[in-house]
Amino acid sequence: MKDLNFSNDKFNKLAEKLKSGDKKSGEEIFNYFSPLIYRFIMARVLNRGVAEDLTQDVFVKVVSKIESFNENQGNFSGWVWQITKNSLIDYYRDKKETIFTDMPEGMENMFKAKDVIISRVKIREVMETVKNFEESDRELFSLYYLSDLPYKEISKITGKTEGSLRVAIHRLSKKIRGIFK
Amino acid sequence: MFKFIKQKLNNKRQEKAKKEYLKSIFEPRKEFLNNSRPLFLNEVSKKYGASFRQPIKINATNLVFRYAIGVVAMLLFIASGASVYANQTDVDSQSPLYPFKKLNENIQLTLAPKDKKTDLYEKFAERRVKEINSLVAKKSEKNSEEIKIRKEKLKEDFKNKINKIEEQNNYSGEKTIIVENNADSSEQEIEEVKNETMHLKLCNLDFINVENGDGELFWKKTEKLEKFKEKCDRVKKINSKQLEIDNNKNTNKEKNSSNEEEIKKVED
Repeated sequence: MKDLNFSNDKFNKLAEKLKSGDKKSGEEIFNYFSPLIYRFIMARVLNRGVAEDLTQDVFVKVVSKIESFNENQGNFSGWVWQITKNSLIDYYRDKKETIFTDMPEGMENMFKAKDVIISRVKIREVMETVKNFEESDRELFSLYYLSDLPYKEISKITGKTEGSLRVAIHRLSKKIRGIFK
Repeated sequence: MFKFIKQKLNNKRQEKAKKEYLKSIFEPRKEFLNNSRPLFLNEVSKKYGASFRQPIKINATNLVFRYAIGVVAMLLFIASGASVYANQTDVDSQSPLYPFKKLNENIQLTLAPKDKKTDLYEKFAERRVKEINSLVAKKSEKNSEEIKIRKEKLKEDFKNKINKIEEQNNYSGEKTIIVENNADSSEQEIEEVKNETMHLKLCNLDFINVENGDGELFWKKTEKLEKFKEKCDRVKKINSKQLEIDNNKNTNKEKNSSNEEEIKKVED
C-alpha cells in the first residue's frame, strides 16, 4: 500500500516545502496524488475529460491554497482529499447532473491489468455498475478500491467510523461482485 | 485452523486483485499525467517565481555550530590584528590593547626556536622595565593605588622573564639583581649604582638603566656580564682615556687661562 511509504509526516514536510515554492516537493506530491485523485473523480463523474479537468483543478487549488494548510489542524493527505471533494461539490453544483459519456474509441487498449487487456464491453459494464451506485457508495468505491486508501484515511475523509466503513465496504463488495464474474 | 488462515490469505489476495483490476479501469492516461505535471509545476513557479531558493539542509545544531565558527573566526581576526598593532606600537600597560600585546609576546615565545627564546625573553623583560617607568611617570595621587598594583604585576612578569632566561641558559651562581630606587634611597646610593653600571650601559649589555624618577629600576645580570668582561674593560679603558683627554684638555684650558691672566697682569 502506498501509504506505507508515504507517511503523514512526510506529506506534511512536503507541504511545508511547497509553501516556500519548492518544485521538487510539488512534483512528489503530484506524482503520488494525481492517479489517486483522478480515479476518485473518474469514479464519481464517469467522464474522462471532466475527470482530467477536475484533477488539474484540484492541483491548481492545492498550490493556490497551500498557505492555508496547517498541519496542527490535520494531515496534508486529508487536506488534499477535502479539496478534491469540494471540487466535486462545486462541479455538481454548476452542472447540476453528471453526464455519462461513452468511452472514446481505442480506450480499451489503454487499460491493462496484469497483461490482460480489458475489453471495451467490460469497461462499460463497470462504469454502468458504478453509475448506479448511490453517492455515498460511489465515494466509498473510489476511496477504497480506486485510491486504495486504508480505513483510517477513509474515516478521516468521510467522517464515518472505521467499523461502519467496514460494514459499508462489505455491502459494496457484494454489489460489485457481478463485475468479476 | 490452517484452512481458516489459508482462506483469509486467499480473500486478501482476491481483494487486492479486485482493486488492481478496478484501478486499471479508472487509471489516468499517461499523456494526461505527463502534460499535467508541468502545468502544475508551472503554477508553483507562477506563484513563487524566482524567489524560491533550494533550502540548504541544516539543522539547528549545524546552525549554531556555523555561527560559533563564524564568531570565533571573527574574534581571532580581530585579536590577531590588535595584537600585531599593539606589538608594533609598543603600547603601555594602561592601554586597552595591552592584553593583545602580551598575547602577541606569548605567541612569539611559543613559536620561536629554542636558540631565539633567550633573546625574546630579554627583549620582553626590557619592555616590562620601560612599562614600569612609563607607569611611574604617570603616577599621581589619584591613581597611585592602581599604579602600584599594575607595577607589581609588571615586576612579577619581569622576574618571570629573567628566570626563564636563566632556565634557558642554565645559569648558576648569582641571580639577577633588581635594584629599585624608592623614597628611602639616598641620592648617593642612586649615584653609586649609576656609576657602577654606566660603563656597562656603554657595552650594550644586559643592563637596563632608566631615567631618574620615583620607582627607578635597574637590572643587572651579573652572570652574563662576565661574558663581556673584556669588551667592557676595553670600553672602560676607552672611557678612562677619554676622561684623561678631557682632563688634560681641561688642565690645558686652565693653564691657558692662567697664562692669559698672567699676561694680562703683566700688561696691566
